[in-house]
Amino acid sequence: MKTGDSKRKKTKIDSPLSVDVNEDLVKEILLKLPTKSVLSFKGLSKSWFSLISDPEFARRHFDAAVAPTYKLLNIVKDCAVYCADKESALCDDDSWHAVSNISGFHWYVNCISVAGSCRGFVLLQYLLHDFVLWNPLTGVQKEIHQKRGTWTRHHLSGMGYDPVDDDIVLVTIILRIHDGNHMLLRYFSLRNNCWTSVKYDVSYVAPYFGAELRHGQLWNETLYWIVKSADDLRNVMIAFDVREKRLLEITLPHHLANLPNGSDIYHLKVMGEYLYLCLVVRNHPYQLIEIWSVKECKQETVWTKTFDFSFYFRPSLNLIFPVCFTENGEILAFCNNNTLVKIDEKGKLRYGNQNNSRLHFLRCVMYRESFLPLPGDEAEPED
Amino acid sequence: MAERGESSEAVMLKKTEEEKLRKGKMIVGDESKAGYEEEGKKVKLVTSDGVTMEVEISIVKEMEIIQTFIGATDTDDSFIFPISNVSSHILNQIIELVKGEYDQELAKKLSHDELKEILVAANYLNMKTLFHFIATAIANVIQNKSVEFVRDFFGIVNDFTEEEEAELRKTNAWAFEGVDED
Repeated sequence: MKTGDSKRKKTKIDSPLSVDVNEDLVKEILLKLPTKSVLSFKGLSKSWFSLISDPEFARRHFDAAVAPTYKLLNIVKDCAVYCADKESALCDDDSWHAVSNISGFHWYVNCISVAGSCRGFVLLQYLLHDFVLWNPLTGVQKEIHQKRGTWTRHHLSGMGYDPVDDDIVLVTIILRIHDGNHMLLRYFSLRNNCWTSVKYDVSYVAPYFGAELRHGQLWNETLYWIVKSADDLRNVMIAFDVREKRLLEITLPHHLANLPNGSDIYHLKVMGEYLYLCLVVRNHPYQLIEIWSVKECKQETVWTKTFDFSFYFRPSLNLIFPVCFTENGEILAFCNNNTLVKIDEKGKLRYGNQNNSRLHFLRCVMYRESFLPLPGDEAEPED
Repeated sequence: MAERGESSEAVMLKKTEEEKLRKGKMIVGDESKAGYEEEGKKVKLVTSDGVTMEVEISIVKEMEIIQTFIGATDTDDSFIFPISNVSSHILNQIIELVKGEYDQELAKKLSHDELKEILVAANYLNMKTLFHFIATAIANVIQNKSVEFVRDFFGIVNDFTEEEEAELRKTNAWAFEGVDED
């Protein structure tokens, strides 16, 4: 661009002050850009790099985001991680891009599950001991270990955000400890960098769909799980208030708490403003999937049946695991653990074109891209 | 479902904004209305290139830096305000943008230098709506553009070594892919 060069030189001589866009103004422009552009602009110059790496900028960009970017993240066979925009996840394999900035990751992929996500961080769980909190956009990561041996394996886990302390909190729960009458909840505060244990005078039983239900759903600053009552007869919802660090039991209505033989709750999911609960009803020769939703969770909950799907009975279970809503109101979901589908309002399933072998719903999570640092990590290095 | 809720809220916001704009227009047009006699008035602004321009008070009112002075002094025709950082060319552009009710189509006709100068001027004059508008316009220009394009846009010198830049591109390879052509 010859003309561009000469024009710029001329402007500089004529009015050197007029086009000097200072850093504060650049920041205001960057706040209006999506994460992808901002990330690539880290490579502009050292001053842009440090501006974009600034935690204060990260916070403003997160809070002000004109169009927040939600991505679907999936860990595949060779521990490679792929991401896709939720709108195009179903299109083809090209819509998924590799994320390379995770290090020291030599785990068996079958032992990894994604335990949750919030504020741009994804929580990976390895077996039932170790966690890695990771920001796929910035590459910031932290391993969090539980003392082995001292603690029996936990049944439930999850992550949440405490807005008052600006803290990310990891939670693990052992539903029944050795004496049979107590449960043990442990939480890890990223800001304080320590575990806290709380013993409760109640106990529960792990549900039949243990793997599908083990990761808590974060909804309005509270984590939710579905478990069985101590006598193994009723479905119960338990909740951990991440801000108040309080455990609650939420009563499910009779028709969901006491299900007939052959029926069970297998999945819990937050989508949009609602919490959804998935139910499988085996009713020969059909199998029915029902999805119930609730708008707010108080002591008692009122659930509405939102969708139901029926399948002919097959040797392998056809379960549907909703992931999120797409822009046109369809549900993006996993069908049978590893096939991504879209479900329209009438309950019709639409399959994608991609080779789905690398997808698995336990290693897949929806997260919002952010430049946010880990709580407690913003301080100067000497601290 | 949530998405739908959000979008309807956005539509509502847009509507109230439009209403505000329409109201503003009505007041400007309706000079007979009591209490708005001053609407026809003009304020003299002296630009950086020494040009004295008469600007409608409705536009000057968006310039918060001048607004404080208008509020303090009982304005009359002799009121003259120097705006030493803004050229007459840029002030004319600003007036057009305000009169055009901040239409992004108008911003598309501006050169890169004009966009930057208007941004700096909007910041100096403390014109909040204009600043938001022009920052959005610049964001639209540089969104999904190559690093080289944006360096050229802002006149930024690359102070990374070749190795440093290659490393950055490697780590976040996906962010550098699929950018628009310059």
